[in-house]
Amino acid sequence: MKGLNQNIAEAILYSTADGIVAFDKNDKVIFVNSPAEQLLGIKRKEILNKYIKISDLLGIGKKDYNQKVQRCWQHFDCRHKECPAYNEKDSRCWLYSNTFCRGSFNGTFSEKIDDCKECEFFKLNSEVLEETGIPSIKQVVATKFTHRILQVNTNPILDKNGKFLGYVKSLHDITAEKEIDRLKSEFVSTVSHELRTPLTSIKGYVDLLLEQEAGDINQTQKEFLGIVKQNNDRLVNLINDLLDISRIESGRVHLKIKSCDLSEILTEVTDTFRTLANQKKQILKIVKPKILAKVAADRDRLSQVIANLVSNAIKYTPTGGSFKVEVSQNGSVAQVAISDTGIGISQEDQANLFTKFFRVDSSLTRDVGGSGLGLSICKTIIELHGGKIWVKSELGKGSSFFFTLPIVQEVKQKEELGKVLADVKRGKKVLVVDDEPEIAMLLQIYLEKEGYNVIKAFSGEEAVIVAQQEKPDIIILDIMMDKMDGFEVLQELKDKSDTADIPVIILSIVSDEYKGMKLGAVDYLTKPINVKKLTKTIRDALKHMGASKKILVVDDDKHLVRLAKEILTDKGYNVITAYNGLEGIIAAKKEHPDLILLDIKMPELNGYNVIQKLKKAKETSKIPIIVMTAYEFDKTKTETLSLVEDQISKPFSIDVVASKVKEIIEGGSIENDQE
Amino acid sequence: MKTTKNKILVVDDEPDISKLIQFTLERRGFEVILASDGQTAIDIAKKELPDLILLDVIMPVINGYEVCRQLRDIPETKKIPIIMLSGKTQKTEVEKGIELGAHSYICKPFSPKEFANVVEDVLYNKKREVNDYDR
Repeated sequence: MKGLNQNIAEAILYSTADGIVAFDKNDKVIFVNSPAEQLLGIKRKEILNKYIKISDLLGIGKKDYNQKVQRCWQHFDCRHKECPAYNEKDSRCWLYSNTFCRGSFNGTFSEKIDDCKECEFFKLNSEVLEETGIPSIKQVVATKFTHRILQVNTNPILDKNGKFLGYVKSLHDITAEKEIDRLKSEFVSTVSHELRTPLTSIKGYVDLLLEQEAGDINQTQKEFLGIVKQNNDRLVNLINDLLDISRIESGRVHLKIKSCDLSEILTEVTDTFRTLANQKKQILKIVKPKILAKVAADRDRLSQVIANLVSNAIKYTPTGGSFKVEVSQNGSVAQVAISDTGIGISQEDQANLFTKFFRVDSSLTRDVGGSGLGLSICKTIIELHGGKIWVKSELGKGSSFFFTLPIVQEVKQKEELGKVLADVKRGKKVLVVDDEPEIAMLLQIYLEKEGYNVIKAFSGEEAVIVAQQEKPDIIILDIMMDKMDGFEVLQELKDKSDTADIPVIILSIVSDEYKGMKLGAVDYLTKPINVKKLTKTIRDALKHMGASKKILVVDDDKHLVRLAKEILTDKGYNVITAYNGLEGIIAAKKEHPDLILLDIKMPELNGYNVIQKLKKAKETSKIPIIVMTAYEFDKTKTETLSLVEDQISKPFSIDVVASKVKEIIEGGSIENDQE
Repeated sequence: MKTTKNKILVVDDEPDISKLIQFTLERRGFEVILASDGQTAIDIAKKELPDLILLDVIMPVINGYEVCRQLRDIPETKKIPIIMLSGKTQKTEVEKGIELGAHSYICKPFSPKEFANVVEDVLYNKKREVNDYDR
């Protein structure tokens, strides 16, 4: 571009089919091309030189927009608060999320990169990252005015010193692709289940004949029926593989990346093949180092790859032969090699081995069957993990399949941190307040046995100070104390904002339950101490703390309401229910829930009406709403839908509901804190 | 000692598959009643109170999920164990069945032997189990 004058540069920008909108560092729109006008349904003069957020242009809420940012690196989060790139809101390292740092950090772009490179995460994982590259932000969004689905890419504008001047958003229309994608997966899904019906009959009746349930059959008949059965099974596998590959390719497979013990998975998977290997009198060798760092992988998918490769090795290794599974660590990657002593693969065939439906043509391959999709699926899965897969083989000498997976030390560290946190959680902090040291000691012994972390205070004044300093999870409070008695302590604790939320259980000889409860104690127990009752009361009180967030579920489908209630209660929320739109609105006004899960299709007052009514009324307008529906969302109602925080389509999985609720409730509370 | 045969209601709109199931179960000593659509299934279930219901998912008019849902709402049929049968084999589909109150979910195609084992398991142990389904 150097040397081109501005007119030429602009002409180029106007001629692309993609929309381009540029902003300066203060979010002022400084450039809009014609495709952007069309895609956004906005005239250039309406937004040029105005301070506008891209989320407003796209007609979606900011939160929604952030959620749609594809979090490629979410499993490699940089959570080091010291790192200047750390952003509390998205708790991701700026460098990897490419989130722009505006406002919160005053340095230049290049300074920021340098700082990022100093961060612990980067140091630990630089090799992996350099190898796989750093993705730019891509998000798929639906626009408000034009109902298009756009892929949005973001790039920074920097001056020659690397100072951040602004950013460019390019908008690529992928509505048609998405539609084709949807049609394709729908088609594959329908076809595959339509195919299963006749296959069920074939398999069922052949099995009955083979098991001689319908009378005796002779040896030849048995053999022929065996062939029918084998080919039927092959067809079933083919359908499964097809369905699988279609889902992977359409991007509907979301890897659940966790830190996994690779050698454990290898052992687990190979063990399931032992019987098969024994039948062929094959010897299986597993070679692995004593210490192997954990890999970042989706356990199920990884098992699938290993199973596929091991089963191939068994298929192609002759009876009495041997095959080997070897795992090693090579810098920042773990490498797995699965070697057979079979016929080998020619150089020519190796090149096509990972292509769909490719099968090496030989009498043996025809014998062993297979869909020709297995290796292609393996390749896709490994590449989705950021690994590589390849083959080395020599005709007549056998083949070795290799694949690599990134090792992520950070993940391991985080896990250890998680363990510590879990321990802390188990050992909730209990403050025991009693002026008699023996009783305090006794309580300590009881409670420590239950796994609590006990701190003590021997007077009312001390209790107030310790409570403020230590922020215990719960307080056990004696009443009869000199100078400042328990009731005064309670009053004081409830008056101070930083201790007001700590649940207090009164344990006293004085039986004045009414006064205690009125002052805000969660429970009132009398001495002598009943240990069982005390620990149960503590447990209940702590549980109750977690349930403080209230969720309203509105659906006319009773089963669904029950299901949602079970899921959410299980996760520690307080769930209230309503079975139609009107009930929902009344409950929302009365109970002020922290979140509403709302069905769209309900008789009488439907979900869209409920949203409008709730968002209009002052007391309910701020409650976040997640809508759920089994049907496609009505495109004419996009405006109403833009008022809600999130959408879930039915049937939903427990995980999805729980994580969305968590995201919104916890995300929401952060915002409130800042206000 | 059982003096009466266990009664099983088989609901499938594919006669070949109904027949396959009927044959297999009758050879194992069960009494089989057939229904080829959802509404008939609900009517028969209310009248005959079978010990177990085998329910195909994909059927015209009222599908298996809906039948299951309705049966769970009727006091008399509420507790009858249901095993769903389906060519829909994705995890979400299986989970949906179980969430709606099915005891077990068998993915098509199945072999009669495995299938009869699941029936016996559910009937005698009332055990929940799901055979292989896609991830």
